[in-house]
Parts: sequence; C-alpha cells; structure tokens
Amino acid sequence: MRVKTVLTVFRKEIKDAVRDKRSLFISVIFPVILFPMIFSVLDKNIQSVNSRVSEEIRIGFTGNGENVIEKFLEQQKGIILVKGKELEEKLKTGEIYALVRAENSGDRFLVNIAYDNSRQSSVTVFNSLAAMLDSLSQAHKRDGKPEENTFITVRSDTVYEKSRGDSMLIFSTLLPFLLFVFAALSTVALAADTGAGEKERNTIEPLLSNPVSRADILAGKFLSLILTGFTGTTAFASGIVLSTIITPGVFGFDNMAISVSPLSALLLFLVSVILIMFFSSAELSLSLFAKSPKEAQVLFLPLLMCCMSVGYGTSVIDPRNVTSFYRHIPLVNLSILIKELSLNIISPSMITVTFLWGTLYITLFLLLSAYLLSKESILYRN
Amino acid sequence: MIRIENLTKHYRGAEVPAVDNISLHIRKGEAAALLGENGAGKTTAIRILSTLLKPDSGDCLINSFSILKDPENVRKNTGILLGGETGLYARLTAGENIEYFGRLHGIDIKTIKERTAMFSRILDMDKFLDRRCATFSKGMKQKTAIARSLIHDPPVIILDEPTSGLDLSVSRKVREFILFLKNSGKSVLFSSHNMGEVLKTADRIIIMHSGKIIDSGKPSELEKKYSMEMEDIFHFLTGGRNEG
Repeated sequence: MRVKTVLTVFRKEIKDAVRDKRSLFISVIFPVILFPMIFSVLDKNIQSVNSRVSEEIRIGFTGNGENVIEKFLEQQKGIILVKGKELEEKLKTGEIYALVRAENSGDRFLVNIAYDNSRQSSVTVFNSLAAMLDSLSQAHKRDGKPEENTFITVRSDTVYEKSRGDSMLIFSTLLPFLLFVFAALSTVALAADTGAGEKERNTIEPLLSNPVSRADILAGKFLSLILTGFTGTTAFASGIVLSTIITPGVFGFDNMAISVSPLSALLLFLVSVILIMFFSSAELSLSLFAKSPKEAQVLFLPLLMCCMSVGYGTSVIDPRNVTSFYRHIPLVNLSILIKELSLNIISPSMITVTFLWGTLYITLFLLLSAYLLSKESILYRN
Repeated sequence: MIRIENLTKHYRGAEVPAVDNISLHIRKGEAAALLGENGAGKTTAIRILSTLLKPDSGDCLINSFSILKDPENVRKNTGILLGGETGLYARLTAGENIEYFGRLHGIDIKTIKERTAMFSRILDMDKFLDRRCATFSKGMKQKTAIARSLIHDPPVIILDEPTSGLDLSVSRKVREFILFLKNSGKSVLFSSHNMGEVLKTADRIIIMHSGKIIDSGKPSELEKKYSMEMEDIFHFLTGGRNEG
C-alpha cells in the first residue's frame, strides 16, 4: 500500500465531500442545530412534568385514628393528600401517583405504599415516599435496636404483578421508538428509488410522457411505499416479538407479560398505518426533490434524525402528564399516542386530534410531492 | 400531423432562448429531420412537443390537439423516444417494460402482446424480450425503448437521436423502421447529428442553430438553392461551429 496514493484518494474524497454543500449541511451542521433544538423542547416538557410532579404530588391516603404519617406527609412540600373513595381506581388512571395506607398499631405504624409499576413517575414517587418514611423512622429509632423497635414498617404493593408491570413499562418505553424506526427505515430504499431513482435512470421523462395524470402516478408510488412500509414494519415487529420470546433476558425480564386490549391493538395498528403513511409521504416528497438516490438519502437524514430523537426523547414522558400542546406537534403526538395505547389508555379526543394532525401532515406532504412532480426546474435539474 | 407555431423556450439563467420562435408543419406520412449541432435546441423542441416542458410562448398542435390545452390527448397521439439514456426499468424484462407503458396507455393485454410480437419481429427482439434490461447492450435498449414508445400505435412519432451510439447494423434497422413508420402513414419527426442518416430517411430537413430554424426543405431543394452538398450547406448555415 502506498501512503501517497492513499492520501491522494483521501484528499480528493474530502474535497468532493466538502464541495457538496447540501450533504455537508445535513450531515454536520444540521445535527448540531437539530439535536439541541429537539432535546431542549423535550427537556422543557420533562421539566414541566417533573416540576408538576415535585410541586403537586397527589397521593391517595387512608389511615386510622391520630395518624403521624398523615401529618408528616401533609407537612412535606408539594405533597397533596387525596382521600375518599375509589383511590385504587385513581391510581390506575394516573390521577394519583401512589396510594399510602397507614395502619396505627400502638406505637408503631404499618405503611403500605401502592404504586403503578407500569409508570416511571409512579415508581419514582414510590421511591421518594419510601425514602421519606425511612428517614422519619430513623428519627424515631430508639435504644439501638432498630429491628425490633422499627417505628414504621413500609411495605409496597403494585398495581400490576411485578413481571407484568416491568413488561408494560419497558414495552411502553420502547414501542414508540421501535415503531418510529421501523416505519421510517422500511420505506427508505424504495422511496429513494421511486422518485430520485426515476430521475437518475432517466425513466421519469418516458413515464411522464404517458397519457396519465401525475396524481395517478403519485398515488401509485405512494401506495407502493405504504405496502413496503407495512411489510417492513411487520417484519421488524415480528423480529422483536420473536426476540422477546426467545431471549426475554435481553429486555430485562424473564417472561413477557404484555396485555394490550383488542381495541388498543386495533388503534395501535391504525397509528402504525398513519406513521407509515407519514414517513412514506415525507420521503416521497424529499425523493422527488432530490437529483439522485444518493442525494435523497442525504435528505432523508434529518427526517430520520427527527424520528429517532422524538422516539427516544418521548420515551421518558409519562403520557398521563403530558400537556395538550404536544398533541399538535408532528411525530411527538404520534409517539405519545403509541405510548398511551401500549398502556391501554384510550382517550377518544386525543386519538381524534392526533389522527387529524397526522392526516393533515400526510396531505401536505402529498401536495408538496404533486407540486414537485409538476415543476420543470425540479424534475429536470442537473 | 404536427403544427408548431412560434414556439419559444428560455431556460432560467440562460442568456439566449433554447428555442427561439420556431414554426413548422409536418404532414401525415412525412418524415422530417431536425438537424443541428449540440445545443441547437433540438432536444428542447422535442421535449416541448412531448409536453415534458412548457413553452414560454407559442403552441404546437399534434393531430389538432394543443400541447397547452390538451396535453393528455397529445400524449395519446404521440410516440416519443427521448435521447440520451433510454430510460428503461433495469429490473424489468424488455417485454415487461413495453407492457407497463401499454397498460398506462389503457391498452388491453391481448393487444399489447400482439403489438409486442410485431415489434419483436420487425426489430429482431425475440432473443431478449424476456430478459431483464440491466444487462442489455445499447442497441437492445434502444430497440426496447422504441417498441415501448410505439406500443399505443400513435399517429405522430417523435424520436430524439434514435441512432445515437448504435452500431451500424442496429442503426440501419432503426432507419428502416422509421421508413416503415412513415410508409404506414405516420408523421415522423426525428433529430440527428448524422447527415448520412438524415439523407437516407428524411423527406425534409429542418436545420436548427441557436434555437432558431435557419432553413428547411427537401434535401434536393436545399442543394439546388445553395448549390452545395448538404454537409456543406449545414456548415455554411451554422458557421461550422460546434457548440457541444
């Protein structure tokens, strides 16, 4: 190997790459701008959720007689005790983060903290409460015999059986990200080929010289992308399901115990279709704009980066605490909806809003594609 | 029939128009050749006639259909072979490429099969009709592209440099095919760089330079008018410059 030759080739490749301004912008400048933007928006949401959690932690409480635990919790900044009926139901629906049952037995307390082990925020609140009560217990510790004289004994109870709760938590965390990646990636190859590939191969001109409307051509291409996306997403999902069966340890539990209701499953299917249509229409318009499949793939990068950032960033969001503003942001709203449905949370108004926005974005991308397919300077640019 | 009236096309950023106020009329059963150097405006004119580009001004009637007002009917009545790459789908066979365009024209499969068999016979395509186009030679691609362009049996045929890059035997086959089309009553307009091909095939020669038609007529009429051979006439009219 000759170093001189290697360096000559290296220099040429770098010069070539640097002169491709669009690729340079997308692969270097864009991520530097994009990621801080996306994560600052997500961080803002997480901060607002967290601040709400820390400012007003709604905790269900039941207890008997004069209750030190009740007074102690009421004194804690941010904790709002909720009493009354149907507290268990409120825990399941997310109205309260945890349910504390404090039984006074003479000079000791038996405290049971119930929490929703399918929600990260509820798990966090449980850990905080357990720590608080432990410190309270430590303060009352007497005579150096903690085991026998423990003032507070804390026990926990979960909404779901442990393996099921863990599974649901991991499932709801991973599903938006995985579905996003599957839907976006499965159409990339065909999308690059069906628009920019037609230009590069010079098949676009003979195709457009046929007596068919450009809308028909576009619709045919769009349908082929949807079918490809659907097939690819199904294959990806099948692979993941098989992995959870064959090697569940990889996902952090012994056996998968997800129970998605038939309605949630149907709605998840429809969300996947919307997601596939979203990426298909977006990639089709980018591909029609690009001169070549290579350029198309460069243009897809920001879209894929957005997809992955949103899929990853929203994985930590508790859908029960998200503000309505995020229901109007593309991809973010779909991610939150996927998360909700994976936890069997069905809110007709939120589903309608998300589907309407999804349909609007898809329509806009298709209109953009139709425009690009009619624009001489885009179709025949060199 | 092709009737071009005052057609002009100016690309954005270009100093001069690619096509500058051209007018011509090609009758039924006539083969006319557009002759010009690279950059003379032949391909732009052909793309406008194919409805792929919109003119800045002027119009063109293909079998009485306006390219501006009725482009879909223009496409139905025109068989177009564009220059350069043949634009075939490499992963489809020659037959599938032809069938795809036939279907886009709304032709039933039986007719597509019959016409494909006819083209295959005339253009010697039998050996590669069922092969994928990815490995085709230039000649095989060109024959497939011609058959694909004419599968709907259009009355008007426009061919952009149909023999460019072909070997002698395939070029001859294509020339014979153009004559066959002309004798079948089609109006044929083709562009070429090749004077020999033009003289053997065209009833009329249209010489283009810098976007303009600088003269046109039967080869014999032009030779008589300028008292030169066609090649010298061409060099005389275009200033002998090669803009390619």
